[in-house]
Amino acid sequence: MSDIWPLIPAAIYLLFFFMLVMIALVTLSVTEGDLFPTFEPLQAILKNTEFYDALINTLIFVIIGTPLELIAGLFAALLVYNSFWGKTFIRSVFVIPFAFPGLVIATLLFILFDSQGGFANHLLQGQYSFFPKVIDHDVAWRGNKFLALSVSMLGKVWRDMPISMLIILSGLNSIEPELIDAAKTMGAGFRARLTKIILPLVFPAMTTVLLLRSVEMWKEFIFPYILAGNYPLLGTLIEKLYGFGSEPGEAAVVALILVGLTVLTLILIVEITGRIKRELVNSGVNS
Amino acid sequence: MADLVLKNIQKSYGNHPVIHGLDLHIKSGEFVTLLGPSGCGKTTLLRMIAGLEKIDSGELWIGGKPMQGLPAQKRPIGMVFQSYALFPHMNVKNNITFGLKIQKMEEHAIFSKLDWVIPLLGLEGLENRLPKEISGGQRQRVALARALVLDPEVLLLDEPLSNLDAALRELAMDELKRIHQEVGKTIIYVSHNQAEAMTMSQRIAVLNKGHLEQYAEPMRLYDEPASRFTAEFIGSPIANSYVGKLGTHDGLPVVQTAVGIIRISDRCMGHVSSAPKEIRVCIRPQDIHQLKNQVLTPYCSVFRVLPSLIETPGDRCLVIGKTNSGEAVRFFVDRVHTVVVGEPLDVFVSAEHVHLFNSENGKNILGEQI
Ligand SMILES: Nc1ncnc2c1ncn2[C@@H]1O[C@H](COP(=O)(O)OP(=O)(O)OP(=O)(O)O)[C@@H](O)[C@H]1O
Ligand SMILES: [Mg+2]
Repeated sequence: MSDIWPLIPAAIYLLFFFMLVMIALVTLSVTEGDLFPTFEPLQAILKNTEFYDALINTLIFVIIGTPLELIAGLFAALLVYNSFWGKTFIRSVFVIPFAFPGLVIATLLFILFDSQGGFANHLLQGQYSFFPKVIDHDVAWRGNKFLALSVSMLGKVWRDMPISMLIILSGLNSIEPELIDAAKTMGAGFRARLTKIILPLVFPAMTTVLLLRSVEMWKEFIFPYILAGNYPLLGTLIEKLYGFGSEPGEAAVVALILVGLTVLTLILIVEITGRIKRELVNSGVNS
Repeated sequence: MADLVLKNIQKSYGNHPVIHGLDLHIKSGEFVTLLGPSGCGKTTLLRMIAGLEKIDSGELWIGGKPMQGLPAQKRPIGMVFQSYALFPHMNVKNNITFGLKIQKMEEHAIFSKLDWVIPLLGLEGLENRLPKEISGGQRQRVALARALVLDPEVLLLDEPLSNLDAALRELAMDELKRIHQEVGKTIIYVSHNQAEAMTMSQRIAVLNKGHLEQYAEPMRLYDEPASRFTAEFIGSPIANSYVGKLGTHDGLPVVQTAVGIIRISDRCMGHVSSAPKEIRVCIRPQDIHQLKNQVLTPYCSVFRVLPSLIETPGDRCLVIGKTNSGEAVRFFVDRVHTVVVGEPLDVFVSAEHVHLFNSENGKNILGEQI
């Protein structure tokens, strides 16, 4: 017990600010003008179709974006891990997206995927010799819910992939090289080594990636804000309600729901990955 | 037949040569130890045989088939690593059956393999434990079991006993010998422990800085070391070593040293005239005996030493003494013999135990052309 005393100041600091924000948020969510306490903001949100839209959009964002980041990170990490030469160089190249603020990347994508002209449209219209002509007319990248959300999700995944990659890479690097050698001497080819040794051993790192990235996906703001202005996610909806709509109470309700969903997702991931891990340890002949 | 043949094997890391043109022929079913000090290239050699390390030049044959260009997973070898390298996420049973499942062996065949190897190595009751839940000795046996079930033609063992305590080590050595007798595999065993190598192997390859110093049966290494390195590396404590000059005394071959004139084997007679001026003389402490009332043959030389230190490590006492000329002499006496520090005594050595080496290249002069 005495070991935790040095941690107390940090704990108080964290708890204090967390509590402060949460209390303010809860208070705000039951305030409507001069009325306090009231469920009016909650009722308004539950009647708001835009909220349900945003909820579904965000859910799709989380369900597709989180595994996508895991897979992108895993592939990049495996590429760096298995590369014979220039390991440091390849790793640096992969880390570049993370060197820019999300706002910059989002703005870049905004320019590339402009609905009138823009690089993406020009490319698909066959204006560059290295790419075949695919479409005749400009695509309205931001005028279509599917395209707008896809572009913002890809932007998000591309920008944040380095974090996933670095986490998985450190997991890969902590695997004893002799384990791989042992697998080789026992007849395991590349595929067997990957699926039976490497992936199970980086599983904890992959779990970390899923946990961190799912939180990021739930609370994503900047990419959809810039690239999918007409199709809100929960993150952008909060801003919209608070700033543009002048409904701080409703914004607070959405924020609380977002917190709740995030926590729920984390619990779910811990539960599922725990089960998979037990499966991995016990799989095999009759055990 | 799974003879293993190495022909002129060379290996460098960068421009740092590690193995210099090594030749070795290991017969099918033989237990051979690669013995040498730390950093002499034993692990490197083993990894090259396994296909885990590239061979720069030379040939490697196993069972009459060339191994060049064959990746590790296709070679007929099994390996036990110095660190055991058990898969931490698999229980004992899955570690053992890993290679069998890769081969897509049928389940009933896998079970019969398990039924054979688990009692063979005394792993009953540990099947469902993870590697971190068993002891070092048990881990070593799992690593061995894992290699054995794959029925490789050659078993490569990289210092598998180095992490065990002395008692467990003896047990494991006996076990390994028993397993070798039982399964009859060709075994290449790496060690830097000469006592371990002497007890276990049929032949020992002594390595020094990537060169093969000698390749022979244990007793042969002990009795007829081909080089000064082997003489000093095999046997403990380290052999007495003196500078000497070959010559004759009353028409018999002798070597003159600071200790005195020492009679040498008649086989050296031919070298007396042609040998280099300076020679290195090595005599094991075990071969110097206290003179009491034994009848000495004409091949024995006697000299007087003054004991300065007596160590009693066990059943025998190691005496460290000095001759008149101040040269140190180490030898053993029985514990019952009362040797007293400061009281001079006579000791003798027989000619066949006096090993003579060329001072320049360290080779045994008997092996050299006259
Ligand atoms: N990957 C490597 N890169 C460069 N040099 C290496 C490498 N592996 C080994 N060496 C060098 O090669 C030499 C032989 O190493 P090796 O591991 O074969 O020695 P060893 O005989 O097994 O020693 P030990 O008894 O300590 O295990 C050493 O000098 C070592 O420094
Ligand atoms: Mg080694």
